[in-house]
Amino acid sequence: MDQTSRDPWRTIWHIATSDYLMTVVVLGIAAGLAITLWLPQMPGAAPVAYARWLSEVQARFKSATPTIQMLGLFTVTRSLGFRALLALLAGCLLLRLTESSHQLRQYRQLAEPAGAWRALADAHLPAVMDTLHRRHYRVLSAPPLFQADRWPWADLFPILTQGGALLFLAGLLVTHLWGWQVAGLIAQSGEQVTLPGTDEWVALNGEACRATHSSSIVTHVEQCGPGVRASATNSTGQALPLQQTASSAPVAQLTVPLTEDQFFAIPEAQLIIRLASQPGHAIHAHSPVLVQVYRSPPGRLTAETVVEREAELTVGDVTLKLTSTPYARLTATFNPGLWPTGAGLVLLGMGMLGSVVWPVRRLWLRQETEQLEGTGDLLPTPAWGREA
Amino acid sequence: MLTILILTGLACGTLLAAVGFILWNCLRLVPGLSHAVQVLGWLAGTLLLLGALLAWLGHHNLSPYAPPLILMAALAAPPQAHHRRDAHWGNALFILPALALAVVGLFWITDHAGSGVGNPTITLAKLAVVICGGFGARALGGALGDMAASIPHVEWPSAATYTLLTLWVGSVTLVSLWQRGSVWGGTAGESALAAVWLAWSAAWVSPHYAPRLRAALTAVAALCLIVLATGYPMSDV
Repeated sequence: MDQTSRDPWRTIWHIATSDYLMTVVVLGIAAGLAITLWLPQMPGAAPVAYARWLSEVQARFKSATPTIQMLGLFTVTRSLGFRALLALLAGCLLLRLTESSHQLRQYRQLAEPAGAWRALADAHLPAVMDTLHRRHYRVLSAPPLFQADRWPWADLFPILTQGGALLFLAGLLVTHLWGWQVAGLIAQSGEQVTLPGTDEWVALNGEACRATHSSSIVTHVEQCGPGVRASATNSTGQALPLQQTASSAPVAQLTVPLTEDQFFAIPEAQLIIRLASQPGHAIHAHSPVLVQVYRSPPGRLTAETVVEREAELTVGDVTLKLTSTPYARLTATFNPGLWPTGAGLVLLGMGMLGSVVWPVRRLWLRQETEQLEGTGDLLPTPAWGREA
Repeated sequence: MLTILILTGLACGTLLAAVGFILWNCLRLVPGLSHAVQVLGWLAGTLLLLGALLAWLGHHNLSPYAPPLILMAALAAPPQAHHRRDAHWGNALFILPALALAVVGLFWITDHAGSGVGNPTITLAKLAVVICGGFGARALGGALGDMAASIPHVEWPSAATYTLLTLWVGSVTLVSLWQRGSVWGGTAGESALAAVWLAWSAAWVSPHYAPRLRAALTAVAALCLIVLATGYPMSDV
């Protein structure tokens, strides 16, 4: 006994698989997530988002900002401490999974009773057995000793929980190591966008504002809005070049998403076109677009119209053809850990719900002369009489 | 709005009367008083449920915090099984969360911050979290009774809350994984939900042989859940 209790490995094992450690680790992760609710977290690589975040935290926390930043509270989920907690959780889960698997085998047969014996007054063995059977307990007997439990299901659910949680964490790790995400991607109806640095593509069905994409990525439409495809011809039907900026190459056809007010020029006709969302209308894929044509010089408004689906606008000998071409702001995600994460989540949920409904309860009974004694997870007293 | 105010006010009075009866029963054992407490609990629950339905379904100019608070109070108000057993001042602790929620809800009714009714998806999500919060409030009552007066309590409110919360968090995460390809959409609502679920998980995995610790963790998790459910209109799951 002494040798067993002094064995440091056994002590470490007991600590690592204890409910206390698991409680502390899970609470630590919960606290980390709770901090992210109060303190705005530093965005990743996007410089504009970083600048916005910095001005926000400096206005909110003033002189305390550097201290909070030094403590790493603006980067909680990316901090070493938070990741160490996740790693510790994974380690604990692995050890608990090993122990639970061992217990599943161990309790297949009658095992050594755990805990101190207590006398159960007014309890009679046949009545107790009847109660246990009614509650779907399995009873193993080696008179005068009896073991009652809900093996194998009750012992299987913790394994499902721990295995599911491990699979979930493994999925998150795979995602973190090899996954990527592109946010704020703009795609317009009828065009196929290739994601930078990859062979993956995204295309938009403008009517339904739904994206199609290559098989290995997942896309999510964050926002849909109107857009315009424009072309211009002169009186002879010849296409006039369009230019969005002074430095951009002239094109015969221009596709413009209305993420904000947009302008382009028809240099040969000395016209400037302004495209804007029609004021007073909700922004959606086919919301009306206000088109204003200015002559340059002198910069005077010459004509304007509202495009809903298609429109033609004639200014002098120039005919401007405008077609509604909705755009979508998308997030594209490559997640190689998708299936392990999803499967882990399902197993974790099943295991947890099973453990709530069908918890591990194991008790031992022994008949000593006339007195019935019990140990382990004894049922509430009224179930079989009064405890002595 | 006046009807909701009256119903919630009556429920507050009924719950206060129930607390008074419990304390009186401790001082001088009056036969049948514990049954009266039970009736008062059910009556308060019914009044609050009516108030919550009116607040949620009607287009009153209520604060968005009022309907969830009243609904949570309605779910927490009906008495728990052990009330029959003995005359103990600690039994009043079981009613305390429902009373506190109803009183705070009553306060918020008069705060005209605009309607809490959003689009149906948000309302459904909110309703799911508020129901969890209502069961959480019952579990909070049990945990308070356990901590302050060592009254053994039934486990089902805590188990029901954890089951519902697990189902809801699991569904939200799976939907996010399916739609966005990532576990978290990065919204505050999702982080809050995950944090509350983890806090409840910590209470659930805490050792059974340390009931005070378990009760304290359950109380903390239940309080976090109630705060989350109350402020859920602002979240965007």
